[in-house]
Amino acid sequence: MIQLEHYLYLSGLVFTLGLCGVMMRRNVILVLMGVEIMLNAANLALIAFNKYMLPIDGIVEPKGQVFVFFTIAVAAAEVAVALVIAVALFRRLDTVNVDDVANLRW
Amino acid sequence: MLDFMFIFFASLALLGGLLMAFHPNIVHSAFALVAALFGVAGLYWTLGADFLGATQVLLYVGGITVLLLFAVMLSTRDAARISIARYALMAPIVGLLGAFLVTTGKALVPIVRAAGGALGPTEPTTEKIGNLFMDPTAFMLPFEILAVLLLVVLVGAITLARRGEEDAA
Amino acid sequence: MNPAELFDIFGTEVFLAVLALVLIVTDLLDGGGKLTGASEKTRFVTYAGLGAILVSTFFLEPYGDGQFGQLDSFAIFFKQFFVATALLVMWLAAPYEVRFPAGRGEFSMLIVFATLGMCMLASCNDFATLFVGLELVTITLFMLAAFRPGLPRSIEAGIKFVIIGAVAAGFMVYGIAFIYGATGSFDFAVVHDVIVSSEEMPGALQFGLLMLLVGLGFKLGAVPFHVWIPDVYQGAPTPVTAMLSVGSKATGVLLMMRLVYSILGEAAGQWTALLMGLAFLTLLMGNLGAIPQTDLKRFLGYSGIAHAGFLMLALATGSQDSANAILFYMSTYLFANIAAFLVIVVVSRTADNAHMDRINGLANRSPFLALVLTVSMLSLAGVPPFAGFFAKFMVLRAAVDHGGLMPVVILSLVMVVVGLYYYLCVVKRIYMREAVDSSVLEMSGWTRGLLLLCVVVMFLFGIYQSPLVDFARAGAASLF
Repeated sequence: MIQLEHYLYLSGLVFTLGLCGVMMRRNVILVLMGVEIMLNAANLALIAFNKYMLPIDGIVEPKGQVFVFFTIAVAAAEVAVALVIAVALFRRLDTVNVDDVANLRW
Repeated sequence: MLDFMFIFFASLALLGGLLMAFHPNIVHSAFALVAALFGVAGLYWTLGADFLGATQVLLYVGGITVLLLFAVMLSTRDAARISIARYALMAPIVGLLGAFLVTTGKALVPIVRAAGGALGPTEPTTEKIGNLFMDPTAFMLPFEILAVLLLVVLVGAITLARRGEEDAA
Repeated sequence: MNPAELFDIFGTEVFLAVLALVLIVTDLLDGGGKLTGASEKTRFVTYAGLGAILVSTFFLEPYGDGQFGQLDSFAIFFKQFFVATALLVMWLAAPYEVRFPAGRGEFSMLIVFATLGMCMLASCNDFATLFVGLELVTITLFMLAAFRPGLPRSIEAGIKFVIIGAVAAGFMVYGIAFIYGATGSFDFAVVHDVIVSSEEMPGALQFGLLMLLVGLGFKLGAVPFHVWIPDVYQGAPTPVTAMLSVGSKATGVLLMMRLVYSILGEAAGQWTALLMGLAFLTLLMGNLGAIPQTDLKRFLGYSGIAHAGFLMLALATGSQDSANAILFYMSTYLFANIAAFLVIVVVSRTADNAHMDRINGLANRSPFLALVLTVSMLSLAGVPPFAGFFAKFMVLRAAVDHGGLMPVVILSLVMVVVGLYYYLCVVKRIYMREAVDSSVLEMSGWTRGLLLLCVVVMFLFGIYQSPLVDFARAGAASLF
């Protein structure tokens, strides 16, 4: 039987995969994809917690789900801004590779 | 049945995530991302979050990924340079972190207050979510700020994306 | 909860939102479709609007039952702080704005919206508002950092800021998920009750709070989440750097204080060691990193990390005295930083970079600017009789009273000496070196006025601190 912990394992694994993407990829757009995966892992944990929440007076309000809605909307906004900057970067420096962007020392 | 669905969607999410992180072709990576996001949407459905599953498909799978693909097409000429070899040093760090996350998942569960619910179809959540959004004692405030945020991003993104004005200095 | 009550708590935010919308319309009507060039009307509306809102914040009364945001004296202090910061940053931006290729109106609007998000965070009391408000601030600052898309270093600052900010947001959401899982609620009060009522903090909760710390540490610029600071500070347009160094850092401070004093509350002792360790590393990294810098903005970035270390030390202390000290510290830091960045704006006008050579021989070119920058550096270094000295003194006195923090107190004393060295190196350039560029430095009367104001504040509150101390004490009172 699938229980809460299975969802949490999965969420942890997916989060780590996203982090791998962020740390190993050098293309800005792929890094952003990694961030999306991380956020999705967090969302999954939120919804799983919400589902298995101990009911108060017999009901569980879908608060975790509402929070996930916020995360999705914020992620969309973040991606929009990041892509605008990435495209501006490409237009100006002809690259979207994080390693090539080093006028300022890391 | 639900166990099967969990396994199916979980594998989809994991496989998609794996390919996204490691596939050398950037376009394939983007499609792997679609698979992973779709897998997560399926998992939302197994958890009774019907509205969010649909939102996930519409917004993430349909919207954000298309945006990302457009950016890939606009900006990437060479095939994605994969630099796993150069960044092999990071692998142990990430591996340790992953092990930490997974073991904490195990260690945390008994303490977590959650103990209720079980898998299975439940009633639709859309109405409840809508009520929570509009409830001043619950989530009305963040909902309003979210509206402001979207306006800001709209204006800011247009300003930054304007073509033709190269910086004079 | 009726709309009137809502307005009592969030009036400042509503005013700021209206101001931002008015700014868009003014800019549109006044600019006549042109993208460049300074618009006097937009400037006037920004100053008048922010000034009026700043005045209005002094009429705020503590209000609210905590069910839907809170307006305690702490929130009011920070609302005043943020609106004042926005006003000073816009004032500082006036001589810089000609360099923007696009939209002055949009620049003002984004600053106002970032301020709105900061004010919202001052009164937030649940994690959903915290997350969305924090992202409003952060995403707005992403765009501001890249606000000169034609300039490679501005774009580079933007892209680095976005990536690190997005990762920090991912960690924070993951943390909030576990906090929610352990307590079943997003309310600060409920989380606090669970922490206080349980013998040992539940593992999930501890894990969640640690992840949350990543997100807040990123805003505050504490090690190991400081990596973005030097690059973004150097690359972003100077007024934006000023906003980042004061407003964004204050946001981190504010939320850390809520976390330590309100959410952890009586259980804050469990975190002393962790916060102490972070303070130790932050002090070390900031001060040692600042020594070899040759770019003024990058230098101020490292100096900002060093100051974050002092603030972390005060947070680790966790007493009422240290809370007062933090608020006093932030107030003095505001004026010292605004003065330094305004001098940078003036001296970098001809070359559009902030290399330290630009201030060589400043004393001969403009004795007034030299004086302002010297006072600002001495105040940041913590030299009496300037306000920065008393701020450091308050933090250290509170930490010594606590007792358990001796290693960090000793380190911070050593670091004060190190700080004195690198701040005096800057001062040495002003007075001892030959100028590389001896063109006349032009300043408007307004710029002179702001510089004078900052110097007077730094000097006045250095010798006569009690009004500002009382103000900080009143602000921190509601935390206890």
